[in-house]
Amino acid sequence: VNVTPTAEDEQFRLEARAWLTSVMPEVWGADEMPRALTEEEEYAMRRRYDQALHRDGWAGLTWKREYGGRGGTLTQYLIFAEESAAAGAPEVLNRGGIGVMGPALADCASEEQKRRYLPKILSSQEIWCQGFSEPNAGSDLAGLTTSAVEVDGGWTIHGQKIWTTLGQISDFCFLLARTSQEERKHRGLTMLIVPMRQPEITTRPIRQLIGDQEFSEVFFDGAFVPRENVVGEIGEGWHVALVTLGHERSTHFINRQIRLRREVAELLELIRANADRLPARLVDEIVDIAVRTEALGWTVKSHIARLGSGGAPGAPDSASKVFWSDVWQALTVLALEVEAELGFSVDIPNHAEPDWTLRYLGSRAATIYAGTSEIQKNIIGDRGLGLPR
Amino acid sequence: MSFALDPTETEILETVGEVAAKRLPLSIEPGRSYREFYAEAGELGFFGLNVPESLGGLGLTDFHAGLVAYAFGRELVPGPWLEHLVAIGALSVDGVDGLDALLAGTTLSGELVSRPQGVVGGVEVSGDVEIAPTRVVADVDQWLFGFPDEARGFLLTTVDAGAAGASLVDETSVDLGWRTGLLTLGGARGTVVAEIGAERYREVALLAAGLAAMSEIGSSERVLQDTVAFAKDREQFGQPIGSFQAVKHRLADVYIEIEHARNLVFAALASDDHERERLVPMAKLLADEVYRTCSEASIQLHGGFGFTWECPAHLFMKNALRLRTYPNTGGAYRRAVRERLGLEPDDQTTARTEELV
Repeated sequence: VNVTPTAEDEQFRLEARAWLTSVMPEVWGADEMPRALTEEEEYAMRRRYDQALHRDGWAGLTWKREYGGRGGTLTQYLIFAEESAAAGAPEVLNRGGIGVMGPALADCASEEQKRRYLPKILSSQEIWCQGFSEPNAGSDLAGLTTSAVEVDGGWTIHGQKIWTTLGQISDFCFLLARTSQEERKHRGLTMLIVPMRQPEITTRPIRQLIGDQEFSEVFFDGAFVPRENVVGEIGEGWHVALVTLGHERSTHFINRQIRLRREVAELLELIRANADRLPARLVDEIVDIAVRTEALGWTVKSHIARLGSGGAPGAPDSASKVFWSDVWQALTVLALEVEAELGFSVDIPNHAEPDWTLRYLGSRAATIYAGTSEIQKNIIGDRGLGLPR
Repeated sequence: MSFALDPTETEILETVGEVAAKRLPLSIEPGRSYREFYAEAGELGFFGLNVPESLGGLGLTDFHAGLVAYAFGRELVPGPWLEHLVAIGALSVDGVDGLDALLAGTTLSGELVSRPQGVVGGVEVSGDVEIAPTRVVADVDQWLFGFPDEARGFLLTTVDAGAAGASLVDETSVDLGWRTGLLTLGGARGTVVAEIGAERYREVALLAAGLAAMSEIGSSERVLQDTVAFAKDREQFGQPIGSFQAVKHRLADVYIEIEHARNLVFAALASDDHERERLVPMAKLLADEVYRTCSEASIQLHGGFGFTWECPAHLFMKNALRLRTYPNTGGAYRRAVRERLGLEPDDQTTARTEELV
C-alpha cells in the first residue's frame, strides 16, 4: 500500500491545472461560469471543449499515441479528472465515444478499425452512441431482439433501441444485435458499427423529466452495415458488450465520482455561511456526506491502481457506482432541505447557482443508468461474493 | 499509488492471521487466560512492527502495525492487544524501562488513559497518583496515564496493576473479549517513564484510532465472509437463501460499505502525518458505522440462529459496540471532522482539537 503521489504526478497536475485555467474562457465563451444554455448551445460549447482538448494534446490521456492519444497513465487520467472538476470544465461532448466505446474498440476491434475510427472519436469529428438497451431489454440486456440479417456485402438491421444518449447527433452507433437464434440468449449476439446517417434510421428524442433531450429512441428499418463493421467475432457480441460496460462502470465513471467532490464543496460553502440559521441535523448530514465522499475518493484511487496494474473491472467498480449514486442523491436531498430552510424557491430554474433543484431531479437517473443499483448488486452478489444465482 | 498489499504486507497479514486462527478459533471463553497467546505473539514480533529497531522493534511503519490490528480483527482476538499496541506506540521513545517486556508480550499494558482526572505527585521521577474512577481494561499488568504538564508536555506514567492504593471494580463489559473495570487510584505509586510533547501525544492518539479502525475493517470483512458462507449453505424453499435478491442485495450493501471504508482506513494509516490527521477522524467514524451495520445485517441474515449465543455474530456486534468508543467517542471524531470542514465556530476550534487527544 502506497498512497503518496510521485513528483512526476504532481508535476503533471500543475501542467493540467494551468492548461485548464487558460482554456476555460475559450470553452465557455465568457469569463464566468455560464448562464443556462439551450441544448444546442451546450452541445456547441462541449464540442469546443473537445476540440480544445484534442488540439492541445489532452484528449485520450490513456489512449495509445498511434491512435491520437497521449499515451499516459491511468493515474494521470485521474489527476486530469480531478483538475477538470476543480476548474469547472464541462463534460466532453463525445463522452460515450471517448470514455466507453473507444476503449472497447481498442480492446476488441481489428487494427484496421482502430486506425479508421479511434482518432476521429478522439477529435469528436465523429460522435458515437451506444445501441444496447431496447424497450423490452433493459436490465435484461441479453434478451434484446434487434436483428442483423446477413445480406450481400454486410448486414441489414431491423429493430429499436432506446435510452440512446446523443443518438440524434451521432455519426455512428455501437450496436449490439442478434445475428442468430440460439438457445442461450447471450449467444448469437454480434457487435456492429452502424453508420447513423442513412434514411433507414430514425431517431426520436426522448424528453427527460428534467426537460432536456439527451436520449433518443432509435428505429432501424433495414439499415445497412458493411461486412467489415463487425467488431470482434460474429456471435461474440456479448463479450464485447461486457468489455464496453466494464469501461463504462470503471474508468468512465470516475469523472462523475470526482465531480461529486466539487458539489459537496459547494454545499459546504452554503452551509458554512449559514450555519447559525440551520438545524444541527443538517450540518451533521453534510459531515456524513463529506466522509463518504472522502472514502469514495480513495476508493476511486484504488480502482485506478488496480486497473492500471492490469486488473479487470468487476465488483469493486460496481460497488463504487452504487456508493457514488447514493451519496450524490443524499447530497441533493440535503441541499434542497438547506435551501428550503434558507427560504430559497424551488422553481426551475431557481436562479440560484448552482441549481440544486435541477441536480436533485437529475440525480434520480444516477441509480438507473449504466446498470441500475439492483443490477450492480446482482453483479456484486454473483461475482464479488460468489452467491448462487 | 497502490492499495494492494505488497509482499511484505501480505506476509505480515497472513502470518498474524494464521497464528491467531490456529490458537484462538472464533470463540471466547469467559475466564480463560490468553497470556500464552500474547507471549507467542510477542515472540513473533507482532507488537513491535512500527517500533524502531534501536528500541527492539522491526522498524516498519504504523500501517504495518495496522495490519496486525486488521488480522486480529478478522479473528476477533480477545483483548487487550489494541490498548497494548497503543501503549507501546506511546512508549516507543528512548530510555523507557520495560519496553522490552511489553514487546515480548510478557507484560501487558492497558490503554494510554488520556488526561486522567487526577494528579501525579512528585513529578520528578515518580510519586503517588490519585485519580477518580476511570474506565480501563482489566487483565493487564500495568496502566498507563498521560498527565499533561505545562512545562514538560505529557508525563507518561505507569502504575502496576497490583499497586497498593489501586482498586479496580470489574464491570460487565458487553464485549466478551475485553474485560473492563473502573479504576480508582488513591495514592498508588506511579512511575513517570517518559515525557513526550503534545505533537507526539497527538500522533499516538491518531495511531490508536487508526488501529481501532483497522480492527473494525478486519472484523467487518470476517462478518461478511461468514454470513456469505451461511447464505450459500442454508436452504429454504429448496434453494440457498443467498440466491434470493432480498438476501443477496443486503450482502452486496455490506460489501459496498466495507469496500469504501477499507480504502479510507488504509489511506488514513498509510498517509504522512499531515494527511493522517485529516483522514483518521473520518476513517474512524466510517469504520464504526460500517462495523455496526454489517454486524446487524449478519444477525438478521442468519435468521433465528443469528439471535442465539451459539452463532458468533453477536460477538462481533458486541465488539463493535465497544470499539466505537475507543479511543474516543464518535462525537469527538465528528466534531474533529466538522472543525476540518470549517463548520465549527472559531472560538471552539482549539478546545475541540484538544479533545481528540
